[in-house]
Amino acid sequence: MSLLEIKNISKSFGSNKVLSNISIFLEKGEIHSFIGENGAGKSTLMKIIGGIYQADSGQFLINGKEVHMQNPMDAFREGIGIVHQELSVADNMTVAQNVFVNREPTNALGFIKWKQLNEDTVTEFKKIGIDIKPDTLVKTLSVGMQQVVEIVKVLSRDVKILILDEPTSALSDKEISNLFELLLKLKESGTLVIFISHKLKEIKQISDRVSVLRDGNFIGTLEKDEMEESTIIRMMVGREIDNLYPPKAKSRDGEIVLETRRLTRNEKYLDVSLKIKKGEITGMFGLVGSGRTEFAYSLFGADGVDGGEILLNGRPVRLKSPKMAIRYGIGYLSEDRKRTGLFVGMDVKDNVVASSLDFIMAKLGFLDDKKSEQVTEEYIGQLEIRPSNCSSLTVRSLSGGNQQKVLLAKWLAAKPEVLIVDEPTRGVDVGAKCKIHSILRALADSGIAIIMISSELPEILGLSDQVAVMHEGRLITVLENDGLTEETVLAHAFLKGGDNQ
Amino acid sequence: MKKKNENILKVFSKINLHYLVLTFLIIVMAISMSMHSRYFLTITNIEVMVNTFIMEAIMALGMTMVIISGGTDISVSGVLPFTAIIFAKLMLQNVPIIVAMLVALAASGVIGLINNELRRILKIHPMVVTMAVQLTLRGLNLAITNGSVISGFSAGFQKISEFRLFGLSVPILVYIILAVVFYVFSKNHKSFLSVYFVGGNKEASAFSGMNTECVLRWVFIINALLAGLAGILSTTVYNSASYSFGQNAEMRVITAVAIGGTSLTHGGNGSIAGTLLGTLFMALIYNSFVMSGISTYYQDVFTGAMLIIAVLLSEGTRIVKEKSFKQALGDS
Amino acid sequence: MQKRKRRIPVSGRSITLIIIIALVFGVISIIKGELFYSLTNISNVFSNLSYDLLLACGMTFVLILGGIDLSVGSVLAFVGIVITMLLNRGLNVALAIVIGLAVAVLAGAINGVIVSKFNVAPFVATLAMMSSLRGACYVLTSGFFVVGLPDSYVAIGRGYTLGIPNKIIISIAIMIFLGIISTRSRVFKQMFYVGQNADAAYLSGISSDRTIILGYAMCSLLAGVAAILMTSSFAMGQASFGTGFEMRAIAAAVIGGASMNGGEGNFVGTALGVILVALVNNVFIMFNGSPNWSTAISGIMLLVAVAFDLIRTRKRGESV
Repeated sequence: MSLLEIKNISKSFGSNKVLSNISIFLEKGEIHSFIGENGAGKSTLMKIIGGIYQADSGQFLINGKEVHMQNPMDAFREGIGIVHQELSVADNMTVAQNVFVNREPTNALGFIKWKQLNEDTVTEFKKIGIDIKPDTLVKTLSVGMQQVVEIVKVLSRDVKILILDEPTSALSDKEISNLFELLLKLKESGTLVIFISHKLKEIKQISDRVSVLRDGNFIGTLEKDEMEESTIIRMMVGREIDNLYPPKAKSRDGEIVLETRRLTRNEKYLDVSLKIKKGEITGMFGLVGSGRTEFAYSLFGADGVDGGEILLNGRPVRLKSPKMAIRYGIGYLSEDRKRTGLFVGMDVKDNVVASSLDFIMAKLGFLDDKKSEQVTEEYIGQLEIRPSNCSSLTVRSLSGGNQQKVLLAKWLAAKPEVLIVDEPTRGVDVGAKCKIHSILRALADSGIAIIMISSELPEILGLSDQVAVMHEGRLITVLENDGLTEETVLAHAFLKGGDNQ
Repeated sequence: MKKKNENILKVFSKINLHYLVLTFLIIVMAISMSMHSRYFLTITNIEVMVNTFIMEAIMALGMTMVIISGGTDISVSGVLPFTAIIFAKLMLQNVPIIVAMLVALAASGVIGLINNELRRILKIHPMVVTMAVQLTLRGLNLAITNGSVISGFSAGFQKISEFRLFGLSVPILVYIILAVVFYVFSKNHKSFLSVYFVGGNKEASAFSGMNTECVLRWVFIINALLAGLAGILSTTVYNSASYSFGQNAEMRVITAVAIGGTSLTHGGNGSIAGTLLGTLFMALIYNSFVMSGISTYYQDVFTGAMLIIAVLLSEGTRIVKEKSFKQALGDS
Repeated sequence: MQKRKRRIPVSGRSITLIIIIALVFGVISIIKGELFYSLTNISNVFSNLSYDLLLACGMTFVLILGGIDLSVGSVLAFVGIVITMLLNRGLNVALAIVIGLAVAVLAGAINGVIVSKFNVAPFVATLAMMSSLRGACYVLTSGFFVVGLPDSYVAIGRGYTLGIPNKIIISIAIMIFLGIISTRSRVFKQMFYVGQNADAAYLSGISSDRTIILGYAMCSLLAGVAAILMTSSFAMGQASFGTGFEMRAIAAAVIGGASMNGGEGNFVGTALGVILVALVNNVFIMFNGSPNWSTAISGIMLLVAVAFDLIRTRKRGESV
């Protein structure tokens, strides 16, 4: 009998059917991954299992017995714990307080027994091989560590079923391998680990089985020996995707449009000297915390510079604000599209023209509504944004991949000379990913210089003409993408880190 | 009452820069005031200083928790006189003092409950809700009393205002007890600590099984109770009840809490200790007003300026702290 | 989910308001008859309305920016006192007006700077400005009224043009002007962006700070204009002018469709909101007689308005 049986689960949000009749069997002592495009329903399914949403129809059976989960506490009682993609730690409290929130050991009058609380916390962390000071304030920890606190919080409740929703997106490689070791330990002790991820490599590395969802439907489950990347992709997308990446730049002798010389920002990055040529895509790879986004912020005028210079078309410039940078022809597509990129409550059209109000749209300080509409339609077509009549729809109602396309449209409309894209395909489904990649290459071919910050090595290798590797704020090396392998890049990011090359 | 100042300069997150600065300012002020006037350190003056600000001090305790929970309660300046008026009217009807007190307090608690329920059901920011409630109460207070002052209580009642224990009057005694209780509870009791969680991340706290609505409900009720208590105490001090009691008190209370370092904008931050310091600071300032005979209107201007400085100070030290954090573990 | 955006800022909300106003008007006319719909009473209602209209329009800017301005009532009083004191000492009318308006703009700009550059919550910043200015009013006047104003000035507020009170003409003209430029002006549109997501606006190349400062300055400027109308109409400056006006302005703007979360608002709706609030106040006074309740009513109407605002936002719902 299966540990967890998902039986005929369906769920709609309003008229939007998110899950249709999902039935899967999940066993104890396995690591079972879920993969699917954005909007495929994986997160929703997990949230239903975790008690955050309730299914419209269908049942869950644990060890053959039907269970009902109205809220996360019910789920915990059944031995189910979720670690969400968005962190839910209280960063102004200590690690110990977070791990045992609402379950602190207290005396009869309700006063907390601090000594025991701290000791218990240390014990829980030791179980996964980490030493920690339990009275540390969570806000002082790195994002990766905060996530570990979150995981320990869930684990300390003795769960039989552990769900992890995109756990590795903000973790360093070392943290990821620690995490995987932990998951293997859990698997051995009989826990069912459910793992949602976009990263095919990771799924292949860690999972015993993988289930594919597409458009709210369950497509199938693959055993470990059946996990071919192309098979999985085909199941996710419903079509073959060969030629995952567009061809590289044809000629590599464009002018240097942007150059930095020993650019420094205290406590963020040091001595970064980089030459960006027209018509090329420069990939910037690094582990979390390597300073790439901070570097981009400086290039975009969103943050200052403490040393070195930036040269635009050979002339030194001081960029005091994004507004100025945009005027100079530099654009920056934000890492976190919801928080700093899009205006989710406004419609697509407003979002697309947001960076072009000044010089493309305005006439005498007044806005040209027709032109805005026209430009929006153009990009909807070019980028294949769905649904195609979305110009007046709020961005919030679009899927992740389409939202990212709208964000990209905004920057295309600003007609930059240099476009920096920060994690351009994070949280984006494979179909949209492909489209974005081909747009980026097309942009480069038309003469624009692109700086692409990404933590996905395949993306870096697939798209870049040259790869800049950063580690802890220093530019380690710049490599030509000529038969470059992931191992080489990683080696530079890891081993050569520390020596100033 | 004052927080001990540790001198560990390496681990920044342990130092509270804010408390250090505040304590320093208090000491400087106290010294300069005693140099300015030889009356400053007299018992009489200290009594005056305490009495000018004691009601706000009491309310600041409850307000700290409200602000930590992520909200604000503007209605206190309406609850105070409201409770005083109900208390007074009941006593005039020959209701025994204790009963009148309990009923009046219950009424204030109900207002706190109303504040919370309106916030919860209508999903409006507490600032707006409590402002509307304050206006309504102020209108009610005026209407009920027709603008006149209620007085003429029993002789036994007058005894209360004269009562002294170790030379301390009733309001002061009440404050000392409340301050100690709030301090101890806010650091060690699960109930008070849960306010920090709710203020920091309400949804996550709910996911962890906390009854966040219950926490918020009690925060508002207790805050209103304290305001009601202040109203009752005001009646004992002035031997009367008037709609004008506690006018603009909410400004002074919130300012005291803000000066103490509790963040008005980021819930889940703050402490009773800070509020105690902030209250002391405000009391000193208001005492200096009294001593120099400055009109009440200047005082309002000053409070306004103080509030801004307090918030800037609090936001400023937050930024400084965030810049110099080290991670608990060594890795990047 | 579809959201229609028309070029003219007339929303479904505005139509609802027109219907409600018409209903209230009709019902009360029937019950109270002459007393209510007489020209004198209506003229009275609309006369007092001119200040609220200006303040509410100003508040609309600030609400769109996602902020709030509690200082408008105090700015009104303060600017009124500055102007009247200058006039009292014989200064030229035009000059006094210019100085007064400059003071208004300065106050608003200070609000804007504190909110944008120092990251202080608008509620706190404007609350502080409110008490500072109100206190300053009393300090300057010591509680006395400021009188002795030249006839040319008084004519502004008390005069009639073509049979309609100047106050009404000026305030409605300003409102129409704002309504027109708001649909097309880039600067105004930027306020929506900043109100929705100030960080994204900054990274999109919009000067969030400048936009915020402008919004608050506009708001206070309109309060300054209201000050001119009020002091000229009453022929005096008084430290207590404008007390409680900010609540009515907020209520009116929110009833009119502005959201307290920012990113929404329109002038037509605000105007209708002002009319509705004024009507309700007038009705209440007619039935009850005690002006003490006015503040209470404002409070309740604000609550109701915000409640409706939230029910409406919730109906739109969030997607997955």
